[in-house]
Amino acid sequence: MLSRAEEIALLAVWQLQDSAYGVTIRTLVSEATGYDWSIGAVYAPLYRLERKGLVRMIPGEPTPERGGRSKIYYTLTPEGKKALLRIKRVHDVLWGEAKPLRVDET
Amino acid sequence: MNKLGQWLLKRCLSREIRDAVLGDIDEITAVVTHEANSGRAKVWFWRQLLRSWPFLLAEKLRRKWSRLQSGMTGFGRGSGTNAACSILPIAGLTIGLACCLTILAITRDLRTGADAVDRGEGEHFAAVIPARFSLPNTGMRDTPVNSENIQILHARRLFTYEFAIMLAAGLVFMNSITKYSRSRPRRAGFPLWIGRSMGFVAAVFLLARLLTHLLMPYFRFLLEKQMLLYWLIALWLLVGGVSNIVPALALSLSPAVSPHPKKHAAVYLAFMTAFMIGTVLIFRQLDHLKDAQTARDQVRTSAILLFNAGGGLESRLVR
Repeated sequence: MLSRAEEIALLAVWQLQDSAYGVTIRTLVSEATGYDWSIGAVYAPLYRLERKGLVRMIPGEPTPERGGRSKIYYTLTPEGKKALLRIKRVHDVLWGEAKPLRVDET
Repeated sequence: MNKLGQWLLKRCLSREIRDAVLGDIDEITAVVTHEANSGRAKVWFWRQLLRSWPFLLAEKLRRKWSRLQSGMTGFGRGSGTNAACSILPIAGLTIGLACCLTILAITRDLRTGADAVDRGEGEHFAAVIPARFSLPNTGMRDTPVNSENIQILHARRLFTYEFAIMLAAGLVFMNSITKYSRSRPRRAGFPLWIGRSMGFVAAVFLLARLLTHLLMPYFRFLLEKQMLLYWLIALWLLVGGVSNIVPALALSLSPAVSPHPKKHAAVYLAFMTAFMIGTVLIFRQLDHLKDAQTARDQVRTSAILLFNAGGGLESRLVR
């Protein structure tokens, strides 16, 4: 089972495809969730996903705007894709059988 | 990014993601500076640092722990498949640690004696050195108590501290060589124990520590020896020869090894040589000073010269 932060990070990596690295992932998840994610809060779930074999780290080239430091790109492994599909299926099943939700309902 | 912040961040970042995280922060800081101003960017940076620190530190610790686990596993497998090669560093470390503990026991013994003499509780060392720590054949028990001998005793005490620290440093250095050589390909043909991770080294160290505890009673034979400290040095050189110099030389000569071990091995060999020469010099000085009339001043001067690299050590000697 993945935690909520791991789910979000995994989905962000999939959505960003080839441009998934720390800054873009942070921007995407901050916009999507409405919270200002810190860099540390982004890298922590990414590390756990990497340990579980769901994402892979790919070192990028150093760039001048980053002070000559290189990026680390993240990409989904086949296991990561399967995990993402499983999550989607669970969400679809649960939402599909649920009544439409409105904020004013109790 | 200011230097303090960068330093703090580096402390909590694991090597694998250090560059990436610092680069990310640089990139976002540049954007914030461009959109707002540098003051706002500084505030943003420190907020990020404070909020990220716990996450990054936890991640670093998790990485270290998983590395330690895999190292331990490697140690178990390596010991099973290549037992002879695994025994060498363990035996070397065991002897080294036993030497350290013996030296520390004697140091405590000498300190007890010196403190008692300082309080005027005896005329010979035999009267003040506790029986359980006595050094039967070293001649120390029959040495008359006077200010010169007390100074020599202080000098020897200081030397034993130094000796123990240097020995420990040598062992730690061996560990670092082992650590840096882990990228060495196995096909180079060196024993498995050279190319292991920190987990492996930790496992070796723990096992050696356990063996030291078990074997410590057998090291009592050292106390029966004439010229006790020479025996300890001989044992230490054996440790150095078996556990340290051989892998260092092997790594230096290996074309398959990365530049780190070569550099470290060269520094280490220089350190070993300097320490051996220093040891001989110190002992010759102390032997000479035993017979000298002006022992107090000479011990003081020599100690200051010999231990000048040790900062405030000379002040302890001259007290």
